[in-house]
Amino acid sequence: MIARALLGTFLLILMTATAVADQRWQREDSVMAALDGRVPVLEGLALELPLVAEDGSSVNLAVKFTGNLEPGEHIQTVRLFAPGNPRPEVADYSLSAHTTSVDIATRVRLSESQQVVALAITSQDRAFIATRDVRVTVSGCLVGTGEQAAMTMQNPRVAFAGQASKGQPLTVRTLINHPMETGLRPDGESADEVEQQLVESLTATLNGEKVFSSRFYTGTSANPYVQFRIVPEQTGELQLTWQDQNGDVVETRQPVQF
Amino acid sequence: MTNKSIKNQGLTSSRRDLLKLMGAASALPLLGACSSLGGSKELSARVVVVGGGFGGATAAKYLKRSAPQLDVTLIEPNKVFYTCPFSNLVLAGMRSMDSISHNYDELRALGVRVIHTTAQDVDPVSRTVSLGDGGSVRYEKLLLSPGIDIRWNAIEGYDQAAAEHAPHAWKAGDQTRLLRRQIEAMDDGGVFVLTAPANPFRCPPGPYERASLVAHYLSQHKPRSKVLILDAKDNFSKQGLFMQGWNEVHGDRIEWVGLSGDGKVTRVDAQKREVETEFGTIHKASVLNVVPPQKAGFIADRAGVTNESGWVPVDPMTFESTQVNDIYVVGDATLAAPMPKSGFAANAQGKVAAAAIIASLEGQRPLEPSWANTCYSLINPEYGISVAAVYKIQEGLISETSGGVSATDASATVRKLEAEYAVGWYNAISQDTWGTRR
Amino acid sequence: MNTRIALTLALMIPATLAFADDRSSAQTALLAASCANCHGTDGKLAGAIPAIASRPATALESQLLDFKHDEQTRATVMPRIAKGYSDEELKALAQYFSNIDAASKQR
Ligand SMILES: Cc1cc2nc3c(=O)[nH]c(=O)nc-3n(C[C@H](O)[C@H](O)[C@H](O)COP(=O)(O)OP(=O)(O)OC[C@H]3O[C@@H](n4cnc5c(N)ncnc54)[C@H](O)[C@@H]3O)c2cc1C
Repeated sequence: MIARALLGTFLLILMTATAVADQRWQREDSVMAALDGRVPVLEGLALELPLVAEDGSSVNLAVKFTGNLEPGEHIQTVRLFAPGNPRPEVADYSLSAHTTSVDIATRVRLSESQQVVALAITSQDRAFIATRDVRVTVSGCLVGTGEQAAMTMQNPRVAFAGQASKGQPLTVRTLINHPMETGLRPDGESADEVEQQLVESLTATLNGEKVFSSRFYTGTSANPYVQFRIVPEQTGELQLTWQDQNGDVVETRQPVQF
Repeated sequence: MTNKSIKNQGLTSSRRDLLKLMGAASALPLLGACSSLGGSKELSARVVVVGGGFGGATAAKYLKRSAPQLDVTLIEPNKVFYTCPFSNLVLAGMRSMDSISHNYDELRALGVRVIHTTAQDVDPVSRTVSLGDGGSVRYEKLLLSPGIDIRWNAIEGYDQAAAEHAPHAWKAGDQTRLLRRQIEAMDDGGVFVLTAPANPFRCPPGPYERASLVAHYLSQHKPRSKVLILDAKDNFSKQGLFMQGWNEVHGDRIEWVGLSGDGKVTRVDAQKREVETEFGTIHKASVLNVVPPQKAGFIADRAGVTNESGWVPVDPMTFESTQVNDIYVVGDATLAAPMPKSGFAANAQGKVAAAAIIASLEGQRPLEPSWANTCYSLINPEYGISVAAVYKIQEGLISETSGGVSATDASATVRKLEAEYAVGWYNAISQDTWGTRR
Repeated sequence: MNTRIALTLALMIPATLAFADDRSSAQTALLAASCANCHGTDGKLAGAIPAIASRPATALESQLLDFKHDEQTRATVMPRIAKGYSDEELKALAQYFSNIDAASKQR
């Protein structure tokens, strides 16, 4: 009897502890500001990151949506936060109404072990949230370089994973070479930081219609990489436009054929 | 039903432990435990070790020499173990396969029972390991050091059959011989393509040492040939030192393409010796060496100790599985970052787990663990570089308390000294693990 | 369950006390086990890397401290390793290896 009561109390404490642990995001200003009073649904959005990241400068991240939406409702934006970084913003993604399945992947910077947060906001102003704890170590056998890269955008690349077909989700991968200087990194020689220089955005249009766009912040890794889905209804051309913070633009195109 | 039996088992076995403990306590042997990790002379229990590589052989040896009455059984299918360390030297024609081979005679002489078969399954309820030869062994403590298994088909087209044409040679033995034959048969002017995986994987500097030593061989025997590394990472171990060494020694013979340069290979055609990258570039190879994504050896899965990552989470104090009691796991199979998946680390973890097993059998708290690691890599036979570190537990996690890589401005004399130390290290760890003396 | 814990505790306390000496020597042995990777089991293997067993404790200790404080010019990995240990640990290691009989045939 007593044992059972004790066990019950113990379980209760345990459950409360986990619930509290999972809502650390409530203490993050950036996340709360993005929620703007909405109470997020805790299930449906999935955030995939390794449990342990051996190189915090580039950590694979994927966000997927498997939850339930109302008829006609779609995910409009997905936002990523790394609250343990000096600046929490990682990236914002805007999806088109045609994109029924959310499957976004990118590479992020994590300056320390932390809980990463993803938010999705729907066309009916509902919010979904997902969190994931990542331990960041620099492995004993992993010590990076400090090589200087060009400060401009170079070598935009794009590829489809698989064959396009009408009305079916098609995964697009894209990457551009750019150092994504955070403006937070001390310069080796002087006492100052290396000046900030970021790729600001990526816009994807299919036959002239915007199908996806992305805004990048300091939490996106050097050489920004984005994987997203489009749902082509007809053949044509996918155009990707990258823009850096100086307003410079680089474009690349890929034909869509069924 | 199952739950109940697990519980009952737990209770009976802990009763047994207590009885044993009383025996141990009353004996109070105050032996001069100089090289003992704490075992008393009377401590007797059945400990089964699966895997006779760096982690397992070390653990078996240190268990036995610390507590000679322990019944230590080592399960390992191969009568001869070939080390991955220095297998890159075999590929470059600098060493023979024989020189990287070890057997289990010394462990047997120490009193370890060695059974040459594969562990097929583990039943943590009845504490039984079933064996490939049809038999089974029971344990009070089980230690697994099964190393890695390849994730076949994680790269499209790279399966077991493909490895016969495009070897991985990431487990030493026949794969090493095959790759060596291919390198020797390669035409002058050909391209040796090595594809490197994302983290985590066995031996972070391994692919780059291999590229270096293959380049060294080519420079002497097929001087018009090149080495191309296609990498699924942008940063790799000792990168600055490797790049510097390549510049100084190999010029433009070695080309490295990282993740952001479209280096990630997503498809392999082993017959054609052709690979395709993430953004659709096709590379043709004369010799294709695929270092594929990996996971813990399958027995870890069977024992129920792996998590979603395919690797094994462990309690850092003891290297006991966080998922199943009385199963300890060491070496490449574990999630022990920031410790690398190295032979050195596996050996060091084997000792910590051996001490923890002894402490647990004696009903004592585990000792405070610490580990060291040094990974030497050769740019060529006269040019060695290293990364070294010490690890301790801080705030419940394995943390690096000191460490670093060779100086970038080191002299040729120091590089040569490190190349000699690499050989010294190999001889020492071979002796410490299998008792091999050369 | 409660009785089990109580019993274990009751047994552990005297056991721990009685083993205190053994325990600290086992603790040093575990610390020292890391050295065997390059210096051979019990530090007895001589080769490109020197043996450390049976060397005078004072010599070993001052050498380790020199490594730790970068006062060894021809050093390679040891300064990086020695910095990971406290002075007391280095002293214990020096003591430990000096007490090992380099000539003993133990495997
Ligand atoms: C090219 C290359 C170079 C390397 N160089 C170095 C180096 O210079 N320094 C260094 O420290 N490390 C090096 N490594 C890494 C090193 O090889 C590994 O980290 C080390 O082998 C890990 O030890 P382990 O005990 O986990 O696995 P292993 O040493 O692989 O041992 C595993 C053993 O378990 C056995 N086994 C597996 N499953 C079962 C089963 N079900 N039943 C029974 N037995 C089983 C296997 O047969 C094998 O013998 C290198 C690796 C490579 C590939």
